[in-house]
This record gives sequence, structure tokens and C-alpha cells, in this order.
Amino acid sequence: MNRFALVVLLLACYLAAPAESPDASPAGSVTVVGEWSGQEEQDFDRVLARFTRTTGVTVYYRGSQSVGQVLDTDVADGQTPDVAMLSSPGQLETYASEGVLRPLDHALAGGQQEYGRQWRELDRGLQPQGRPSGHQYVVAVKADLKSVIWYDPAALRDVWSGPLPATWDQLLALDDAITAHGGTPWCIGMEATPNSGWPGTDWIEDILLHQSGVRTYEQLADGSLSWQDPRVRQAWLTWGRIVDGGSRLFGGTPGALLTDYQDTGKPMFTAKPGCYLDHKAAFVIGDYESDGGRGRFDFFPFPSVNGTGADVHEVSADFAAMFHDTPQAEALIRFLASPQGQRIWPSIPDGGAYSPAVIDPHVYPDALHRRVAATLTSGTLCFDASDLMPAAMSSAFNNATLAYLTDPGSLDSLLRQLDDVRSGAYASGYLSFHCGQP
Amino acid sequence: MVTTVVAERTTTTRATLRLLRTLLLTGTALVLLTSWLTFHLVSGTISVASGRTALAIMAVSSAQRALTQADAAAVRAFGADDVRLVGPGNDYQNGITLAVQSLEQVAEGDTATGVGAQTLQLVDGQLAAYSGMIEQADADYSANQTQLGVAELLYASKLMHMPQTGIIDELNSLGQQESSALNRQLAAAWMSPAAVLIWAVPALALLASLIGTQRYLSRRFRRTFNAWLLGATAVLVLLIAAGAVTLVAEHRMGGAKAAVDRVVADRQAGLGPITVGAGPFRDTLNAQCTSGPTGYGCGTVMSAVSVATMTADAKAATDATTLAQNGYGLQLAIPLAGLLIGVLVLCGLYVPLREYRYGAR
Repeated sequence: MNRFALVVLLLACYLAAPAESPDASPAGSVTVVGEWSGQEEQDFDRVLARFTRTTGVTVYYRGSQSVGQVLDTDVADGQTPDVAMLSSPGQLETYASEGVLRPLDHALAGGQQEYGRQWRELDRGLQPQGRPSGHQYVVAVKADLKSVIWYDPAALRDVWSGPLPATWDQLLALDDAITAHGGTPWCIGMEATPNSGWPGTDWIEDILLHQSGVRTYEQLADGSLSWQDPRVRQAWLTWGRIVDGGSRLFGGTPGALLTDYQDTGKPMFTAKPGCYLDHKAAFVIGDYESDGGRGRFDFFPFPSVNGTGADVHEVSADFAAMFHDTPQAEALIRFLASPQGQRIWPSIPDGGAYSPAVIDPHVYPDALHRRVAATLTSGTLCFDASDLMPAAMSSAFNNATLAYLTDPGSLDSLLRQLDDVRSGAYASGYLSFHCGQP
Repeated sequence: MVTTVVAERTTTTRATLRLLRTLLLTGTALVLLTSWLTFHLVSGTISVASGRTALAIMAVSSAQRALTQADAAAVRAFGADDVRLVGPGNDYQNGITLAVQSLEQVAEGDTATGVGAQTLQLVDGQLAAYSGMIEQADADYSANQTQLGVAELLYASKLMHMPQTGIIDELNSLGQQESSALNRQLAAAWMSPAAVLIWAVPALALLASLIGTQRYLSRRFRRTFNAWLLGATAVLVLLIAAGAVTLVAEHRMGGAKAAVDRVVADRQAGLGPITVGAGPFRDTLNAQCTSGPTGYGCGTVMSAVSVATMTADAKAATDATTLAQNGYGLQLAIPLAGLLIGVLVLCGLYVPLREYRYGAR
């Protein structure tokens, strides 16, 4: 019987499935969720690979264009990742109210030295209502400049001999000059499924910032300003002058509604330009180069309106936030914000990434990129307002720009509806926000 | 001298009988253990593979087809200007309802592996967003914001069809995850025909031992047949034959997988422009359909096979997966057979051992 028992034991051991350890690294691992996929994910993988080589920590990254939804589900299931890369800090309020955000103070202690004062203020200025104040909950790891207007210098010289616009009136004069030459001034594409309309929100925000100033912009961003406020209404009307019922847009209103925002630059580079000016964030450089525009584009800053808004820029960023303050997660946060971590992505050719830190400008591939990078670390910087809003509010804002484009006469009704949404969207509190001053 | 020879003969026979009894009982236990374990692993894997994973794969393809049809129906409704009266239409509603039911079946089938849980959550969220966009498009179009309504319809259709991140492509990814899970299940070590050796070798060794024991008893005790051991041999032969059922089940599972693959292929659909109705935006929608790389904004679904063929193939696949799960009651028969063999062995050697219980006479 002893022999029999031994045989049974050996057989059981043989048939038992081998246990696998999920964590092969002795230094541990960290889970990350972000919205980067495709080429962006490959670029981010290079950053993570350097982190792993430096620390030995294994990173498990999951990318999804619906990262907000993925995180909402993870939070509901109690299975949050260690670190999340967010492009919309407005989600912070949701996670803060669930009590799942962890402060980054310990991870970033003594760090971010290369970040300009504006970015440090921006990062520390984002204070969710549901968490103790005075702590830092996000750190910007990749930035983008939004207050710019792109053009083809050779094409513009054919219709305009004056200086590049520095004021709104000068921009309108350029607009009229293009029209007088039989051209169509603006390349606008509102299609951006599943968030169509956000290119229109960028217009409203930039106009408001440069027309009514930083404080008004901050109030709209944090939900404390009514959409029916005369300053907000004026910003919409100012945009209305640009779109002018579709007559100044490539393809008219239907073209603007149905053109993908990534394709708006294509008509700028045709033999007879279909349009001349494109209000778009600096990430568009990669699209222009693949649209046949390599070496054929430049930008000027969004002009001030009525003398307001000089040297103030709307920016966007991708942030890292932490859900579990493990040593590995803190190490990743620290690395992403470090000079070493900040140099990797901008140095990737055609990576289209900019650092919020002041890094060696020669990391960037050319003078154009260096000008963008320099602007991102100078002047007053304000986060994209709709990125700071709760999802319901930003979604309504997106839809409102689409509706306004097709029916400018519905503006007052749209603004009332936006206020209705605002009254419910901020139920869990306002995300405290301030622009970053130099 | 005579006394010494008699004492040696008595000691050898008794010891030999006890050794044979130990050998046969150990062999029986080993055969019982290996055959039961192998059957348990194989039947368990087939139960999951055919009862859950294969059905999840079919449910994914059902959801894809239903959503493709729903979107085309909505596009047709706008293209024909019917949306003012009937909204996106009954075909749209039916397609969405069928898709939701299919996704619930996927979730149920996915519980065994969990490979598609994240993608399912993503698709659920996207589907909610898509439905909301169609509702918004309907509301705006019906409020005479027709240009906006058509644009919003196209945004929704793009969410459905855009490459890589659209709903249909996410379902493709989900289907591939489930297929990979099925392939992994069928590639398990115990699913290989060679795995039959796990129990066949001990069984054949036991068979040889039983035959050898009976031959020994026949020579030593001059009895041609030992009925008990003969009975044990017969039960063992039946057990070996029953164990071969695992090979049959594996073969049937292979057939079920092929049937499921056929169903998935049947349900692939192409897209074409709107061909019915004459609303003011039909040409706009058709222009998007022919120019878009993914075919969004298209109002016609084109299938390579007829509905009747699809239905017949789906039934055949369901029947095949059910048949593959048939265990023929072996989960009870194997341990009973093993027990019976052990009892028959004990009975078969009891009398000879009793004859030698008191040693030399």
C-alpha cells in the first residue's frame, strides 16, 4: 500500500498544472493604462523600455482609445491599474470621488526641477474636490501647443503680402484678402469620432482666452461661469464670423462637418490650395508631413483680441496619475517626470511629442519643433478647457459646436442647453484649476 | 532431503500468489486513476470548449452581423427620409436588440476563460455611445437640422466601422481572442491522441498481468479457468474500449470547431450603397460609402451565402458542439469498472491463497 500511495502521489504531481508566477521580474511590476495605440503606443513603449532597463521593473501597458471608459469599469470593479495616462484631467474628479487617487508628492519629491514654473503650477493647480487639498495628483509627461494657426508660406505669399497677423483685426484682414483672391480661408474638420466637434471647442476656448483673459477662461474651465455670460456668448459670435455660415470653410458646412480633423491639412498643399489657414495643435505636424506638406508649413501664434491675451497659450497634455502608490508605480512616475524620461519621446523622429520640461532643444528634430517647444515653456499656459470639464459637459460642448456650425441662429438656445448640462455635470464638485503663470 | 524440497515449494507458491495479488491490485488502482483522470481532463476541456468557448465565438459573429445590419438599416432610413416618421426603423432596433442578446451570450461563454472580458466591456460602452449618437442624429434630423443629423449619423456609422478601434473591428478582436482560447484548449496535452498512452499503457500492462496470472494458476493448480480473473479480464477489456471514447470525443470536437468556423465565415458581410428610397441625402450618404475605406455610411449588407445556408450551418454547429460533450456516462462507469476489477481480482486469488494459508502439510 505504501508503494501504491507513492505512485498516486507521483502521478498527481505529474498531472498537476505548473504554477506560473505573473511577475517574472525580481524588481516587481507596474500596470499602466493609457489611450495610446498604434504608432503612439510603439513610441511610448520605447519610454517604458528605457524605464525597465534602468530600474528592472516590468511594465504591463494596456492601450485603448476609450481609456476613460476602461478606467471607469476598472474603478467600478475595484481593479484599477497602478498608473493611468490621462489626456483629460476632467476625469480626475470622478476618480477622486471614488477615493482611488493617490497623491504624487512622495514620488515627485525634489523632482520636476526642469519643468517651468507654469507647468509645476498647472500640475499642482489641478485639485479634485474629493481629495485632500495641497497635494499633487497629476504630472504632465507630454505636452502640446494649441494656440497656433498653420499655413503654407509659399501659398500665403500669393494672396497676402502683409505681416503675419498678431491681432484679431489683422487676422480678419488676412481672411478677407484670401476671399478677395477667390480662395477659401479656413481648413476646418469637425469629424473626430467618437468626439466629433472638439476642433470647434478649441476655437471657442482660444477666442475666449485671447478675448476675455485668463480669469474668464479659468472660470469657464472649472464650471463656475455661465455659458450665457456675455463674454462667452461673444466668443461664440467671434467664431461665427470665422465660419460665416460655411462660406469661408473648405467644403462649406458639409465639408467641415464630414472632414476628419486629421485630414484638414490636405487641401493646404494642393497646387491650387483648397484652404490657407488651419487652427490646430502642434501634433498636426506629423499629419502635414504625410499629406505631402513636408517642409511647406509654418505657424503663427493665435492673435490677441482687443489687446487681450498676448503671450498666453492654450495647451494640452497627457498626464500620469496614480491609483496604487507601490514603489514600482512611484518609480515610474518619477522616471516619466525626470530629465531622462522627458527626452525620450521628443527625440523620436516623427514622434510629434513635446516635453513640458525645459530640455536640450537639440533633442527636437528641427527649428520648427524647437519653436513649439520654446512656446510650451514660456508665457502663460492654460489647459484645454474642455479637457478639464466632466465628460457630460465636454460632450455637450462638442455637440454644441456642431449645432452652431449648421445653425448659427440657434446660439442662445444652445447656450441655455449648455447651462442646463452644467447644472448637473458638476454634481460631484468642481475641479479646481488655474493657468500657469511664468 | 525430501522434507527440504516440499518446504521450498510451499514458500514459493504462497509468496508468488501474494505478489500477484499486490501486482494486480496496484495495477488496477493505477489504471483506475489514469483512466479516470484522463477522461476527467478531456471531458472537462471539451465541456468548456464546446459548451462555452465555441458558443462564444458564434455569438460574437452573430453580434457583428446584427450590428452591421442595424447600421445599414439606420443609413437606409436617413437616405430614404423615413427617419422623420419611424426614426432609424424597426430593422435597426431589431439589429441592436439581437446584438445585445448575442453579447450577453458572449459574456456567458467567456466566463470560462475570461480572455474577452476587457474587450466586451469596451464594446458595451461603444455600443451605448453608438446608440446615443443615432438617437441624437434622429432627434436633430427630425427637428429639421437635417445636415447636422446626417453628419451625426455618419459619425455613428464610422464608430461602427472604423478600422482597428471601431465596434466591428473590436468584435473581430474579441472573436480572435475566443478562437485563440479554443485553440489553446484543444492543444492541451491531454487532448492529444498520444495522451491515450497515459492510461493505455497501465491498462495493457494490467491485461498482460491478468493473463499471465491466469496461465500461472492454470499450470500450478491444474484448473483451466479462474472465473473471477476471467471476469476481471473482460471488465478490463470493456474499460479499455470505453476509454477509447475519449478519442471519439476529441474527433467530434475537431468537427465541432470546423462547423463553428463555417458559421463565422457565413456571417461575414460586405457593404454597398443605398439602393432603395430617394431622400435628399441619399447621394451624400452613398458618396461616403464608396469613398470611405471602411464602408461606413453604407445602406446595403451583402452576404456570400443565403440566409437558409447560414441557418442550417448554425444548427449543424450547435448540434456538433452538443454531441461533442456527450460523455456516455463514463464519469461513473470508469470508477465502477475499476472497483469491480479489484473485487474480481481479490475473489480470484482468495481460494488459491486459502489453500496455502497454513503452509506445508
